[in-house]
Amino acid sequence: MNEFPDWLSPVLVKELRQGLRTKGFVVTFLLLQCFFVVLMLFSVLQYSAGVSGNFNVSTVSGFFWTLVAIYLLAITPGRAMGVIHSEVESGTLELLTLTRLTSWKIAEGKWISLVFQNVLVIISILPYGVLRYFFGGVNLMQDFAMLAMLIVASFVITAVAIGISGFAKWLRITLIIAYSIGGLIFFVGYLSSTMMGAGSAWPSLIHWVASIWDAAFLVVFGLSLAAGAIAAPVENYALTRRLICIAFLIPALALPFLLMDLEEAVIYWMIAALIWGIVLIQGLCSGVNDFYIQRHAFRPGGKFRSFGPWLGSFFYPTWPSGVRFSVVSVFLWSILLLCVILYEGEPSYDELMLYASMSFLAISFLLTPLSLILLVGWPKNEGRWIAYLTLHVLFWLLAIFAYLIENIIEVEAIYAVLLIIPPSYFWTVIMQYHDNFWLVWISAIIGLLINMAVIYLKSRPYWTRVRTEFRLAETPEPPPINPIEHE
Amino acid sequence: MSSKKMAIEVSNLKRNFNNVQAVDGISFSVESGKVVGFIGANGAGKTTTMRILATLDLPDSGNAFIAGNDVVQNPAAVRRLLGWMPDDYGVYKNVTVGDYLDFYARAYGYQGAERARQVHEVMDFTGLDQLVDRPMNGLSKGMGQRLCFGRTLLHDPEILILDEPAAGLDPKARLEFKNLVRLLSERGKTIFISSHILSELAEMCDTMLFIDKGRIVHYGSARDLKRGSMDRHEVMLRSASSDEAIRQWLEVNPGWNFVRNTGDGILATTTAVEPEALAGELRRMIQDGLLITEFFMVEHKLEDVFVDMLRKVEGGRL
Repeated sequence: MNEFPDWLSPVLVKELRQGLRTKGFVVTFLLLQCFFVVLMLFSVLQYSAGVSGNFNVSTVSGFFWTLVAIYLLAITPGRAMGVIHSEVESGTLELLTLTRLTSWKIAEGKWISLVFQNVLVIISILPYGVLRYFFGGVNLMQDFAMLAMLIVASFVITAVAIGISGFAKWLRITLIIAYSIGGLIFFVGYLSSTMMGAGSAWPSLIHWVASIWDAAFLVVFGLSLAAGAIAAPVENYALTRRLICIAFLIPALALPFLLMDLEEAVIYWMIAALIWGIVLIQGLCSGVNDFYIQRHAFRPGGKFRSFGPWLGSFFYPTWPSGVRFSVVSVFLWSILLLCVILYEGEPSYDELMLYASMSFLAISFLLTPLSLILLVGWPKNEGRWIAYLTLHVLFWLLAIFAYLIENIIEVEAIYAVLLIIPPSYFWTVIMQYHDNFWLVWISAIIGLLINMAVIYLKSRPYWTRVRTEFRLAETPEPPPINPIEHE
Repeated sequence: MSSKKMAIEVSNLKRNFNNVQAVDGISFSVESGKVVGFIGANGAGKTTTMRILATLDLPDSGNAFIAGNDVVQNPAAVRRLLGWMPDDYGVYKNVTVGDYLDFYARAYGYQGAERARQVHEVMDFTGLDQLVDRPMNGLSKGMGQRLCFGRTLLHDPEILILDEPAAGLDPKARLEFKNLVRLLSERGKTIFISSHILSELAEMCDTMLFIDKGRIVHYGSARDLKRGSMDRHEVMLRSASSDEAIRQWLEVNPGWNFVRNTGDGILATTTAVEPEALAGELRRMIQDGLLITEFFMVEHKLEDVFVDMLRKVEGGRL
């Protein structure tokens, strides 16, 4: 039995030993038990009084699930939020990367440890859940669904929180605030509507499969973010993240075939698109110096043999490579979406045009802010993604301005110029309200061509440098020089 | 071409941080089984070089090999051969000394009885066996350094890279640490060690590598450095003749300079650096009738040699 921990990941064993001794876990565990004891005592008293018609079992269930949700969706992710950053700062992770543990194993161990602690807490509070049955009015299937949903959500949010925990402090705080406001309102609202209100229908199997698939996508993505923060610079995490996206894309888009309902599938597509978008933006906003970090993996005759330089051109963590990957990604999405449309039935001309516009616009959306950043030449490396996202916001403001010009002032010339900005023509194409459809397309094409030209010209020195590096890599290394003969 | 097996080979290594050239084209090699001291002021490029060798950072250009394995191309092989001890190691909360070493032994792939044996050996070697149940965050600086050193030895690496391992240790802990290094050296380990305490390095190391502003300024044994790094050697002269007679002799003989009368002898400098040349000078003194009773070279402190060397680098003479 002493050999049992040898079967487990070293990080998991250490994190469990450490985690179960932390004040955070012990205090939370005891407080939770106290809350549930008080809740059950209160329920028993109310139940006794309720014999005369005053007891509401939904109130107890509401409190019960709210406490479980707070623990699983707020407290555990909260603990996960500091996991990587604190260890990076104290220098403990760096030493771990020198062992046989990969950065992925480290991130995974930390996640499983938190998941295990969650399971431990859930098991410890199950008796309180069972007690509720004696009061009556509890739907067993609904309880299982709720518990499963909370556990899966907890797995996902904890993994994403571990991923985010490697980010800068201000970014983590911003994301925590956004999550607290958005996420908790949603879940509390959902809980109150389902548990205290009319309840919800048992989801179909395919919905469960789709949800679990997207949850797995999010978990893998969150852990890959964490692994990227832990990894020594010689490990290529642009490659891993991009490959994860490709691996998850096909099943995520195949779900509509199984669901037979495009409207239901949209939510799952949106999750996939969101993660994909993050990966693409990260690629587009990278600097170019990191080429040195990964060049060895893709050198001719390296890990990927003669395909190395070709593969590397899509998987380096640099913006020129990010552009190529973005173009390939949009192409892949377009092909798969076309398959879905064709499967659904013979599309009309308008539907096909809309589909073509969407693909065309997606690439414009991704590349326009980058081309502006390259044109201005700022920011060089750091903070590029802030400029990228700010430009997107600015574009949407300009799109609203274009809409006002078109509808109120009716100045066609200014409108045509503003159409070069992606959100303007995106809006126009989606709404399909504009009479001069050709004007929209010409502006959009001009806009995209300008962007492509800027990106092509700006990326040329980089690709020349890459080719030079590889040519040098193919020539034999000179022997090390020792300037001083010390023997 | 030398047939000696090289543990560390560095060729034209460069690393730049925000337009600061931390390492500026350094090249050197370390023979297997040697203890080499790496010396330089703060910001000279020691830690950057060591981190590149430990696969924790990447060079902008140049190559570095550990036992023939490229640190960039083949980091996994390098990590297996290398033990890295940083100047500042992180502390885990709620983890005991025993748990810490056990965790790292697992991380290095040891299982079951082999792991227990490995941990026990390291604890025994580093004298940590009394602290097995002590929480890691309650250790003194010296004990913490010892634990970190123990962790470095867990996978029995062939090559050890130790960055300021004795910094902040009291004299007793420093002495113990020096003994550990000596024992490892006897076991044939290659040790590349940086420190600010030059005299201690001189006792531990076979050779010393001086770095300044990212460039190697000297590579040689401590003895060579003490005696041979200056343009002139200092010689202490004691004789049965009068001090005035010695002084007059020094003034008329080229290559010699009178420095001062120390009270129990005359301190002079000479440009005669080689032992044969010095012996010739002594013979001339005796032939000229000086009754020399003691004639010996004064060895410089390594700190003085280092400062002198830096002065020369700044003056463009090295």
